[in-house]
Amino acid sequence: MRRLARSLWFQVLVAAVLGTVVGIARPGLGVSLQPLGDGFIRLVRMLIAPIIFTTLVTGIAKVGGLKKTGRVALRSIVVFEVLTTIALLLGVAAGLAFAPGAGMNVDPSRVDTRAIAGYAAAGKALTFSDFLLGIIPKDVFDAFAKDDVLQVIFFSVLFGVALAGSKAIGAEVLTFVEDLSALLFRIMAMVMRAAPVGVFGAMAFTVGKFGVGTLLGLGKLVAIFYLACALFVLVFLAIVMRWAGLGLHPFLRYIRQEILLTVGTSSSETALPLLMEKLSRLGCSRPVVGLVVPLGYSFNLAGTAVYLTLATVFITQATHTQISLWKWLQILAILLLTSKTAAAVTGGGFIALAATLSALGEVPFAGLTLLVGIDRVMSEARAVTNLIGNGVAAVAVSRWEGELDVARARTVLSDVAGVEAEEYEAGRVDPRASVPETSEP
Amino acid sequence: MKRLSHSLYAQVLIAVLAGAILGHLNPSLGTAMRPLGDGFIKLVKMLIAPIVFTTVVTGIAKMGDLKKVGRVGLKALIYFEVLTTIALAIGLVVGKLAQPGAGMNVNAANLDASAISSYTTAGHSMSTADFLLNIIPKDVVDAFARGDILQVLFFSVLCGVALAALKEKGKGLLHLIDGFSHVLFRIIAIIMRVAPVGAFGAMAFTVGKYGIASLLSLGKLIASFYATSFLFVVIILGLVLRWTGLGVFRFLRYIREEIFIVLGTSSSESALPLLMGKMERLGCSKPVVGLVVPMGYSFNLDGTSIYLTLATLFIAQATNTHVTFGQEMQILAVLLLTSKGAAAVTGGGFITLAATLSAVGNIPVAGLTLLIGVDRFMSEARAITNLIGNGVAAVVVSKWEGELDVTRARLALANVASVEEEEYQAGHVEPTSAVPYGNDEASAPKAGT
Repeated sequence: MRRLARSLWFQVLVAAVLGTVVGIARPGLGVSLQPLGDGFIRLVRMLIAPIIFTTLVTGIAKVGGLKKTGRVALRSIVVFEVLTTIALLLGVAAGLAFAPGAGMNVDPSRVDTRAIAGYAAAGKALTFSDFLLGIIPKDVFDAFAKDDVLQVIFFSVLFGVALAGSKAIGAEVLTFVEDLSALLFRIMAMVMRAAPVGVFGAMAFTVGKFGVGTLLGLGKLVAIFYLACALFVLVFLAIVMRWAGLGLHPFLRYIRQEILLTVGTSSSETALPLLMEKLSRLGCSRPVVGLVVPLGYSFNLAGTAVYLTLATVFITQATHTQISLWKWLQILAILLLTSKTAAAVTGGGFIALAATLSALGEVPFAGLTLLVGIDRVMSEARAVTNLIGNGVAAVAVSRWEGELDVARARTVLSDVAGVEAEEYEAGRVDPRASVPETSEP
Repeated sequence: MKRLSHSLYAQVLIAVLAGAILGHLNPSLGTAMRPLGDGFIKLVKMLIAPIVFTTVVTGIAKMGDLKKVGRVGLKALIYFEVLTTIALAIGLVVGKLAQPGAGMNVNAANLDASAISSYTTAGHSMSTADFLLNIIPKDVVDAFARGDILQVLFFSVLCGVALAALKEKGKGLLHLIDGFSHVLFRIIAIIMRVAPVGAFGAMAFTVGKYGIASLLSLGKLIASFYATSFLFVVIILGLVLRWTGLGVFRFLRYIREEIFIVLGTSSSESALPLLMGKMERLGCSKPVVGLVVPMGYSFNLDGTSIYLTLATLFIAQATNTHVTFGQEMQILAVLLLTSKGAAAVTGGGFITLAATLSAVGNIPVAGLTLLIGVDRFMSEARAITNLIGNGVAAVVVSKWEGELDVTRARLALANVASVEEEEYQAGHVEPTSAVPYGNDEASAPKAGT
């Protein structure tokens, strides 16, 4: 019991439940607790860019040169493409099968679109070449200051590859970056002590502000979305895990702490550093984790993909818009592109949806208004699915690279409690503390 | 004589006088000197964030104890709270007794409020939660890029504690940051050579632009403010220093260089790195100085506090607004909160004043217009009082922590001239040059021994 009370996942769970209770019982109070959640998210966010940098650089410099990095990146993209395409198709299928929007009879010309005006503007913008150009930082420090993850990844890869190419002189720089990495993970460990407080605040806010009532209003859509996400994780991701030689359920149990954190804050970013750390302890190789997970946060948004197609189908049904099969293929093609840019813009999935709808023209844009109220509730499932998808992708790419220590992974998965206790005792999420250097060939 | 011309404070003093004379004789030429002052302030400001970072990180990492960091922070906040409250109260009392605004009979409706509109809009905004949230950087690099001292301080404390917890593994980084710290202080030493030029330019601009005449028109207000600030430093801060076993006049003499630089540039930030170095050399412990002085620049603005209450009463009196005792207490309460946000916003005290007036209600915000002309002159005294207050705060918190080396401090105070000479010869203001390394933790003598 004592051990349970000490473990982070348990504290977060209790905090999430307490937050929900406060949000239901005293909505006003719940809403006013928003700064607690925001503060925690800010605390984690301030460290994400430097953590990605140090992890990627040490990973790439230690193991691979340009060639290997390129291969890992390419394989990651392939895995991402496959997973998100499946997710998109699943969203369409779920939408067509359950028809969540049927019978709503909404007249788009009478919907008040003011609430979505901001999204509409953000949704335009961004051509494909702009997007690619945007990956190159204007200035190295600017990339870090603006917290642009793709730009940071881009520079980190260059830096890591260059460091790998300059062995003798680079050794000191590498030691420095490694020390920095240890320092940042140590700070992250300190920050994580505040996770229950943050989750409590964020949860109280969400429930207090949007209430259980909104859930019921569009209940069918929400239920189908949650179902589709569950299906995606339990069926498709399970198949991928099986291929890697591991079971999905032990894996979910292994990352329960990260899942709870994501549910609580409804932001998958808050769990990014913890997830990277857990995956390397599982036996995935460090450079692969360092590359796949941050990249996945931009390109492997499985939950967002399910949401995008499902929501599009929902809007067409609610507004009685007829869409031909040919048009559906076109929608899918567009979504394959727009879903990739979702993370590059704040507001995430919602903006991507706006971009898609305005690119299509056929589906009434005003239909988005129907979704504004429940977006926060949807975003919980979206974020959790994205998180799990990224974890699985890292395992899959490691396996593909022949760098997954399956025996080790099985042992780790079967002894989750032991790992957590060890973590707590060590008081750190420093990867090198528990992964012996020798495990990296 | 040669020694005098070598010493920075004499050079700055001469530059300030020369600037004032130039500004008076040839106002337009004086105004044109502005870039000299602005340039100097920019030079110092560009280094403040990294200096705060390296000082705080090395200080805490060597102190190596989270509890202690929290305790020092808490003690510092308590001290800040007490001192600024006293300063606010003194401003209120002087405002009531001296009646600087009585008989001006200004009709608020006739004032042109357009000059202050930007201040009043900036004055709204910022709830406490926002303020607290904003202490957390959006991104670490962003905090440094924008030079946000509170954010940098926040991250530095986290970094220092984490580094201390890493023990052996953190040694390499600590060494590196320490090295950086030396380089940065060395750069400051180089920059300080041009301090006289900066002080000259800033002073010539101030006098040239606002003229001695503006001093006379609101002379009573300025006189009361300067007198109050002076009394606050000599009496209140004097008593506080007496408790630590040091004399205030010697202390002032010890930091005269910093005072003159602040006087010249009318920005207390321009002397922050120098002040930190001096406080360490005086015998205050390094982590305490690293924490207290930068924090004090946000939370311990004694001069600004005096100014806030005094100016509020001045405006009320000038516009013949009757203020009840209850309202005075209300002003005090509002200011206790708003004065803390002063440093977080550019424009400082003036914006806080606008925020307070709109919060209190019946004192016309348009009355601020009366103060614009003289604000620059008030800001000289404000910045100096803030500076001295922060120096004293570092001494007091060190003493409270039992980490003030009083004998050493007395010696340093008694021998200001030779300290300065030594500094000049060495060409640096680097704190560690005078404090041997082992002194930091091992032989830190307890107070009073």
